[in-house]
This record gives sequence, C-alpha cells and structure tokens, in this order.
Amino acid sequence: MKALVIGFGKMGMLHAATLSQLPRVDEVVLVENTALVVDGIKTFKPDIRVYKSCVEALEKEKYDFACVSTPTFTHFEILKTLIAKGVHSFVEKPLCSTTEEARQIRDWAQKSATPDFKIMTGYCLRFVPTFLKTKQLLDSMILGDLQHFDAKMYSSDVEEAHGGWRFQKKGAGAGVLSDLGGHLADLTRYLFGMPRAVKGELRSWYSEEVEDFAFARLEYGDFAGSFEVCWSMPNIRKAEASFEIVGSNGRLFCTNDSLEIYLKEKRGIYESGFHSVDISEMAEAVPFDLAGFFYTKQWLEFIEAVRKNTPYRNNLDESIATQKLLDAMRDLS
Amino acid sequence: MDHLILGDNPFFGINHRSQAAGREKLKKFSNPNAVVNLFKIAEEAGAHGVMLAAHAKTAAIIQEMKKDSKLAQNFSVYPNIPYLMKYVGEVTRYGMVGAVTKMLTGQSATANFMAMLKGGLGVLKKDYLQMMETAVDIEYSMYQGVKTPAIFLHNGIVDLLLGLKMKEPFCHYADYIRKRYKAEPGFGTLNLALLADWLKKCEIEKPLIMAPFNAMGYYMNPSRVACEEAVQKGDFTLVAMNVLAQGALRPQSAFEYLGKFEKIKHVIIGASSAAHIEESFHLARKYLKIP
Repeated sequence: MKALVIGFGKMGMLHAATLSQLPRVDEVVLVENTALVVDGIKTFKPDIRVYKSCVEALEKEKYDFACVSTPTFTHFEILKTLIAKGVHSFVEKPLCSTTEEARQIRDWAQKSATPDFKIMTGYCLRFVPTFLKTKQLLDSMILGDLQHFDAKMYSSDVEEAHGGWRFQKKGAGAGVLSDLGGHLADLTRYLFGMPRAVKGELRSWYSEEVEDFAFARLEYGDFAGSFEVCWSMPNIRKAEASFEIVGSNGRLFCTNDSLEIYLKEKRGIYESGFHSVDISEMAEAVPFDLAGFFYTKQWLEFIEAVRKNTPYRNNLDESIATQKLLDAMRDLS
Repeated sequence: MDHLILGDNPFFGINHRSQAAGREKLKKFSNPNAVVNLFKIAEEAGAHGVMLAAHAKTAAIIQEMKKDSKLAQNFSVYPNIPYLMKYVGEVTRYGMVGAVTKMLTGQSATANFMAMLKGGLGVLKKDYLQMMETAVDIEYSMYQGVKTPAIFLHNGIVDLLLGLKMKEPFCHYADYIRKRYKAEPGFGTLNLALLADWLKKCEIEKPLIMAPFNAMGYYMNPSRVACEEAVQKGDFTLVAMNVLAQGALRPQSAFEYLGKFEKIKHVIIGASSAAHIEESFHLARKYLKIP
C-alpha cells in the first residue's frame, strides 16, 4: 500500500516512521513545505518524494490512504481535498475545529465516490489496554450503580506565553481543550456515553488567546462526573489520562499504565477487596513501536479497515460525538 | 561496558505501575545527595555504573557525584541522550524549526557557547550532521568530569531514525562518539530485532544495544521469539533493560530467564533501596555468571 503523510511535524514524523515499518505499507510519500525540514529529510533519505502541498501530491500520484498531521485549523480544507479524491484518511486529533465542520466532513464523506469511505481520528488512547479493560469492567457492572467519576489529564507544556498555532485562536481548534482535552473527552464519551448536560469553565494564565485550563461538570442523570485538563500543571513528566470511578460496589482508578479496583462485594471473578492489573500484563508486541505501541495498534486497525472494510474505532460518527462534547464545554465558558 | 548497571527510573519518579509510587520516589530522590548515596550503595553491592538519562536534574546529580572524587573516578555514568521530553515539549510550544533553532543557537538553558556557535552555523548552512554533533555536545556537557565509557542515544530518536530507514545519522553518531568522546556508541530501542538488523546494514561494528528483555516479552518487539533469536544470532552487545517487566516479574524468575542466554552479560537494574539492590545484584551475578 502507498501512504501519503501530510505534515512532517512532531506527529507526522512519528506516523511516517511507524508506517514505513509496517508490513502492509510499501511506500510513504510526504507533504511538507518547511525548507529546513524538507532539506533534512532529503539529506538522509534522498529517494523519498516530498511535495510542497497536498493538492500537488494528489495531482501527481495515487495513494491507498493519507495521514493528516497538520495544525487542527487546516484539517477541514485538507479533508475536503482528500475526500474529493477518494483517499481514505487518518487525521490527527481532533477531527477539526468545530462540530459544524465535522458534520460537513461527514456529508462530503457520505457522498464520496469511493465505497465505504474511511476517516479515522487519532484518539490513540482508545488503543490503551487499561482503558479498554476499564470499559469492559464498567459494562459488566462490577462497580454496581455508577455514582460519580473524576477524569483528569495534565501536562507541563505551557508555563509561559507562546506563539505557535496551538496558542492562536485562528480558526479555533487550539487551546488545551483541543489538545489534551480531545483525548480525555473521547475517553470520557467512550466510557460513559454522552452527558445530558455540561457546565464548563475555561481559564488562562499564560496563553492570551486560548485556554490553559478547562473544567467541566458532566451530568448523566443517575450519576455525574468532573472533567479537568490543564497543560500548565507543574512537574508533570509525561501527559497521562486518569479516571477515578465510584459506584455502589466500589471504586476503580485507571491511568495509561495502571488499573486498580476496590470492591465491596465479589463480582464475577473479582473477590471483594483490592485488585490491580498493570500494563505489563496486558501489552502486546507490535511489528514496530515508536513512542507507544498504541500508535501502531491504531494504524494496524485503520489499514485493515481500508483493506478489508472491517470495523474500526474513532470513525466519523464517534469523532463527531467527541467534537460535540468539546464544543459543549467550550460554549459554556 | 560494565556488567551491572543501576537504572535511573526511580530518580526521576518514573514508575509505570503506579503514579503515586513514582511521586514517592521523586520525593525520596529530590535531593541529588540521596541519588549519589544510592550510587555508593550500588557500588558497594557490586554495580559498576549507572544509566543516567539527560534530565533537568542530571547536572546537579553529576555535580554532587564529583564531590566524591573516588566515586567519580570509579563509578561509570552512562549518558542516555537527549533529554527527549524537553524537546518534545519545545516542539509543541515553538514548532519543529523553532525548537531546533532554539536548541542549536543557544537559547536553550543547557547550551554552552562553543556548541551554540557550531550549532548556529549548522542551522545557517543546513549542515544536518553538524547540527547533530552540536546537539550531542550540548547534551553531553552536563556529564563532564565523570567517567562515561559509553554514550547511549535515546530510544525515541533511535526508533524514529530506524522507522525512517535512515543510515547516515547512525553511522555518524557512532563515529562522532568514538572520536570526540573516546567512548562506545550505544543505541536504545524498543525494536531490538529490527535495530540489530539495521545496524548490521549500517556496518557499525559490535554496537551496544539497550533494549527491554524479560520473560514476559514486555516491550519486546516484534515478538519475544524474534528478540531472543536476534540476541542468539546477532553480533552486538545487548544491555538488557526492563528485566523485571516493570516489577511484574519476581527477581528470581527474571534472572533465571536471562541466564538462559549466554550472550547476555550486561544488565540494567532499577532499584531504590539497599535491600532491592542487594537481592537483584546477587541474582544477576549468579545467573548471568558475571563478576
């Protein structure tokens, strides 16, 4: 298969390198227009083809799928071009800047001449075993009736004012809510569904145009949750999502790496008391691991979907739902 | 390359099983003196060195270590560079070009003047190998004054270059480390079998490869069997890490497993107390048959 990777920044590099080592991928072509970056790639990989724009790349060659890893505010136009050309697309999270854009993308995709057109959004934490296990445990009602949960995700990325696209309101899709918030909103929606009501609050200390902190109270009727993301939290080595979930039969705490359960009464195979499951017991080997096996698992699922029309996570319907949740938190600020 | 090497995860609060336990370790080792005391305990228990990642705390640890001249002379430090999380953050904040320029022209806190000059010229001339040398010099500057028999390139960089199937940066790194620092080049990876094969194609002789190796197959890509075969057939020196699979394996069974591979003679063991060091090092010597 031939892949087109659009944008060779932090995530584009990661995806291009991972794709280059996957068994089904024969060739990776790039779109990048930053001279320092393009010259660097060409110096060490003279045979790679690098186009300056998505339009040029699509005019010159055909691809089995594309990977969009450009700033969020550019996703809408790039996806429009890719859908028009019928190129199945993986897009870095979030799908786009607003729910309205997301619905328009769905309309285009539904009218695509390519049958079963695929768009996957890169909410890669949906491939992390601890969160998958948590979902399975919640579905099995191990905690009894849910009462409340706390969802959190922090990083120390922003401790002074910055000028990159993530910090500019241009076209929206910036700020911590689109950044860490995208992952956490997607996981929250995956674990608990869409809330009935959302009350949000955004704050900034360093960024002038976007939020550094977002808090929301999510109302589900029988239970409620809190949602908190901040990219200005001191001394966080690596961003990590966490959920503390409380039900009538106990408590569950999970992160990217760990899962701890306390049960009042035995449920299924789980006796009353404490249990812990960690990722070393759940992780699977992958053909190639760069910065996390879940990126590779994500690609394997998308490629299989493109090849065999199999189901895949983070499709357009799911991505639109996550976008709606993000918009709900933003609108009520 | 020494045989028994202390791991550095506890010093930086890294604990993949529990964030809370990681924070406890971070507090325990918040003073560089506490870290260096553990080096001394490890040395007494038979360790020959420590794997020490480039990190905000690393320079202070090295300064503290140099106060004990005997320790600084005898106990090896194995740098693992660059301080990747810092640069990942800078790329997020300033973009790719902004982060590279910031680092190589000396706006980054760790840069020294000569490296900055060389890096600035590298950016202007778009001399990518010179930029790489500058990045190495800047990162290495925090380790000056201690014994560094080998310098490891962080798995995040190694696996990125491996993924992109680039050869020249590997070759140049190996040459530069040997010539400039009179040290052995080492390569961290989460893709042991692929990297071993790639470094052979790069014609790098007997490279040091630091990679997870454990009975659970944790982080052994593309499979435990492929990694075991790579070790048995390959012409490289494995520095085994994650040998306890983040604490999921008991030390006895972990080292029994490693002992099945005659070629494995170098191991990194993370430990934060004298009792753990004593137990793990004893088992490592017993099963790996190392001094």
